[in-house]
Amino acid sequence: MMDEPIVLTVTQLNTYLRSRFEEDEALANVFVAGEISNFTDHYRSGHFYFSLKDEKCVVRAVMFAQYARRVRFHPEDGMQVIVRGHVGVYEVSGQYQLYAEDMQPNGIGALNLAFEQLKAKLAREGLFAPERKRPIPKFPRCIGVVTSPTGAAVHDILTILGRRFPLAEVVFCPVKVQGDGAAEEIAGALARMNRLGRADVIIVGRGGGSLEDLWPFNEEVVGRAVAASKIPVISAVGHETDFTICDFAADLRAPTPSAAAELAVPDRRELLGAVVGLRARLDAAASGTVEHAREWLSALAGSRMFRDPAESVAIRRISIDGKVESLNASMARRCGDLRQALAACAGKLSALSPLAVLSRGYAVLYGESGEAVSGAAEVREREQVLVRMRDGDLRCTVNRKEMRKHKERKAGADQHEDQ
Amino acid sequence: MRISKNTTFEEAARRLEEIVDAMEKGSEPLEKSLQLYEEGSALAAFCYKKLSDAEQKIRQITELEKKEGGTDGED
Repeated sequence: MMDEPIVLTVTQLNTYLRSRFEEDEALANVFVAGEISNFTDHYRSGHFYFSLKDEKCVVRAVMFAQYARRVRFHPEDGMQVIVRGHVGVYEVSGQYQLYAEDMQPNGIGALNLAFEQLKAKLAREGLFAPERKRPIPKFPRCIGVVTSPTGAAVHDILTILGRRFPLAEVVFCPVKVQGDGAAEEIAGALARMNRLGRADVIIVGRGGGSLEDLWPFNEEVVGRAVAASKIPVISAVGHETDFTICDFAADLRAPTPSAAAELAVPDRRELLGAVVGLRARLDAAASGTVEHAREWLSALAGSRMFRDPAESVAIRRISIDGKVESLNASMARRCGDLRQALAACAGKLSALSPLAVLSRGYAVLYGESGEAVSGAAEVREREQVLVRMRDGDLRCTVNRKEMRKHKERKAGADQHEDQ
Repeated sequence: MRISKNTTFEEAARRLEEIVDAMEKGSEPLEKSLQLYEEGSALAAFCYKKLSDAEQKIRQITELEKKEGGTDGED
């Protein structure tokens, strides 16, 4: 029997080895620390395939989808991790490997790592960029509140909104804020608020809790929903020291839900003070305007025109009288000048008048044609002529014409007349 | 600005501020100033009343969504 060798098939061998591995309780639940290499995230199946190595050795590992889904961070090559699982044999290849059921980053918490990873990713995409931040409206007409209906946060928020700015309406969207499905509910609530389009600003958040409790606000779906919101978002998650992805993506981070409510609305008391102040300024400005007008009026009334109208009229009259006088004087002067000029002209005229000559004893001779005659040559013998004297006319007949010789040379015209 | 049912606190407060600024500058004629004063007084009273009398209205989003859905259906 001893020398009869047992020949096994490969399958038998691998099956045997697999059962030996499975029997070994030491291998059923192991924790292995190492560095991830050759990491493959199988998208279709959701399984992780990778190796774990240290300075000397390497072991293959697989993490099936149902476990891989629970890993909050993204495993990467070079990352130091602690994997919990069991060791088994994959019969097909005869390879033993680590069947991982949980994975934690070594040295840093998984959630911390996941947070840092997602933060870096969304920051690279520009979701947190300052230029994306929208201003929070000063006087919102409607405030959207997305939080748990049972926590202290909703009570704090509503109390403060009601006290500070009751003018604004509140639209409340209750959501789960921790545990499975909370992130999706929060993201969904933001989308609903945007679809409704009623709120001018949204407060999203919850009260304090453990990192696990706050985790939904660190999920990618919430970060993206906050960034995608067309309505400005104020994020208030946990306490002042808690920073979440939701905070980074929001337009404004409030340290607490109460602070978010205070940042969302102005304070009624301050506004009342401002209105009273404006009212006082209005009154002051109005009385200032009236006072100004009154001063102007009294300055006007105080002017001489109004103080003593009679005097003013008298002054004007004097001035007018003066003008009339000077006008009269200048008219008189002008008339005098004209009169003198006229007299001079008349004098000259009378000096030239033939009548003046007559007055000195001369006579004017008119021919039969009625024209004045200036020489004997113009008169025929037997012509009836008129002699006009100073005091009367003489009708005469020319008896005889005797031309004077010494005058003939001078008056050529007469000679021609003669011939 | 006429105060109506739809006038918001913000609109009224902004207009009131405008009026006060204009009045303080004193560039408006007397007649106009008196008009502005009347308007400003009414706005101040409105703002004061709004702030003093307001009571917060809180509504559930589902209630509003139903209403929105209802009007959409009617259209």
